[in-house]
Amino acid sequence: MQTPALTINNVVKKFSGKTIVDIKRLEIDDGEAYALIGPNGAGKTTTLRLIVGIYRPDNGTIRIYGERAGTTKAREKIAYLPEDAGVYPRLTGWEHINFYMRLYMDDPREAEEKAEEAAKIADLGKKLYDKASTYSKGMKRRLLLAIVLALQRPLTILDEPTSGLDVFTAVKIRRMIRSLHGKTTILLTSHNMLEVEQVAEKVGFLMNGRIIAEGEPRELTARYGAENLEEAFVKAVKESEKG
Amino acid sequence: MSRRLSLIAWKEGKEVVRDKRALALMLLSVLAYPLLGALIAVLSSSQVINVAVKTCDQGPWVERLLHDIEEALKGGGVNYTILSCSANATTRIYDLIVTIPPGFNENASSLDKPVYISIVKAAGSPAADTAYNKLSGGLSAFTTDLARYRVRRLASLAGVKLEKPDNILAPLRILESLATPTGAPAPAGIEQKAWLARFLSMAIFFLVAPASTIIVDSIVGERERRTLEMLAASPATPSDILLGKLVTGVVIAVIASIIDLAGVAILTATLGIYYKGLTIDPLFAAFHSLQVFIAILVTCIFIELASVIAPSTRAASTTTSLVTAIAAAIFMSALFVDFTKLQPTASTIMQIIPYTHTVLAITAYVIGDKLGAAIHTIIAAAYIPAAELLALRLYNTERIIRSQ
Repeated sequence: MQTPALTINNVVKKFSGKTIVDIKRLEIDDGEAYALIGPNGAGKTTTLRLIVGIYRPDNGTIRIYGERAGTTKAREKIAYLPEDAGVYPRLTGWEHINFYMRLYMDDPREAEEKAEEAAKIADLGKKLYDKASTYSKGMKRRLLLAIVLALQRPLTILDEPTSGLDVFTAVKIRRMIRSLHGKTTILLTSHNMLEVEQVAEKVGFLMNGRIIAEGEPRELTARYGAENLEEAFVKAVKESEKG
Repeated sequence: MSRRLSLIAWKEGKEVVRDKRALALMLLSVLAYPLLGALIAVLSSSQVINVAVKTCDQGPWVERLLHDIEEALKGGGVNYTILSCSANATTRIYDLIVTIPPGFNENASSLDKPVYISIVKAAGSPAADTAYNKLSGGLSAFTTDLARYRVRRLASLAGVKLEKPDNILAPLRILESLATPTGAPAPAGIEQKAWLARFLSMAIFFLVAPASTIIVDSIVGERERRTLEMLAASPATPSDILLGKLVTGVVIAVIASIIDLAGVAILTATLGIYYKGLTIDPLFAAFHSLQVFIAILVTCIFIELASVIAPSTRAASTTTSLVTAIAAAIFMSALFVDFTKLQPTASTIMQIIPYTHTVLAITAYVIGDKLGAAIHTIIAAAYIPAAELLALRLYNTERIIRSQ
């Protein structure tokens, strides 16, 4: 049996006594594209930070390909794009790419190849060699996403990858994420149900830190007798509040 | 050095070297040294001081006093004017107005009558203070002459043969000399050098201030720009990240030390024009440069520590400002305060601050106390690994990321 890309068991995270995340079980198979959706404050970002090892759970275990979350071995398997990730203003786009490739890869030749790939994905033209302080918000996001995608880690985690971007950039970025299917396991969070329907194979509804429903998008819409994922989410929330 | 640490160091180095504005500010410090030297040496000697002497009497003692005053005020930018008794002299024009009243000569010629003059000083004027200090020398010379005259006349009236009236006027003779704390005679020109050392202790702040701006931008900026989360999630360890930041400090400290060497050389050359014989030993210049290096690294580490323990990004900025403010207070007070003469309580508190040891090391070096200089240098430098270890121990990614 293949080791799951991610296994979460009875994970609880509290801040100032308030439970932010309380996930009994979550398993993502290798190569799967999984989306966690939920409103603001549902615990999406906290869950991702627990998975990448930035936060430590108060209780429970998180394993990435069998490795305990937060260890160097686990972190080497993850490429993570935080929601509002920034750039180093005085480094060029190309230097950003090289920095991250070499940070993750021991082999300089491999790092160089992946850097070329990231440059192609970012598609910034000559701007790639300008300082990042001159980039627009969309260009910065494209650069960082290209880095994360080109890293080709077994698990790629994207927190709100298209949040705050214009339609054209968002479409471009979704296309970039879809191109990853089959190459890596994807875990992303989003408010945007359309985005999730386009990108994810499996979806988890997160509310008040708990996963209230999980399944394939079509399966979820059918289960709640909804026309789309958005409606299914609203119904799932109402149902969980009742019972 | 691990591959990831050297990579982070490379990234930090690039960011620092490309911060042209902050580097330019540091380079300006090289001009601040001689500029301040010029301010002290040149400007103070080029200020125009106006002194008026109103004479309402005549006679040999008046002539004598005018001569002594003139001798005392000669040079140093003092304009000396003798006015008639009826002339209208005000402190709007004159910094100092000396009036020799009627009866001055008669009283001076007597044996036991006091001699009066009046002096009006322009309030709050440093020029008036300078003029008054110069004038005091002339008045002192006149008083001695008058006293000698009176002693000689008394001796003559008493029929006593008196060869040296100064033995009556000033029977106590003082033999002054300067010694180092070890008791050895202080080398020639030590007073000037000690003053210069105090000035150079203060001048370290000119380099610490811009350097800390760059360091704050590198360390606190990582939180502000939200670049830390992606880095913290990478395989780089906290020690890679923190030690990588220390490299920023080393790069800045090396640049600042070179600037300092140039600054000290230019300052010495500038001051040497006005204070003949004032030179700085190249070894002292190198020692001063080493102190700059240590002070900047200490600043870097403390800013890093403050950033690690601060509960929020704003608190991190505020705390790092506090580090710079403490550095400013210590280095600026070095110009006026002898740190070796503080009361035990104050001294103990001051010794906790690493910058105090920087000042004490420089002071000890100048007076020839090489052992003291070495000890204070080692203490100041010891804060670097100690604070770095503490920062590593207190580093908590969760707290830092949550506070962004």
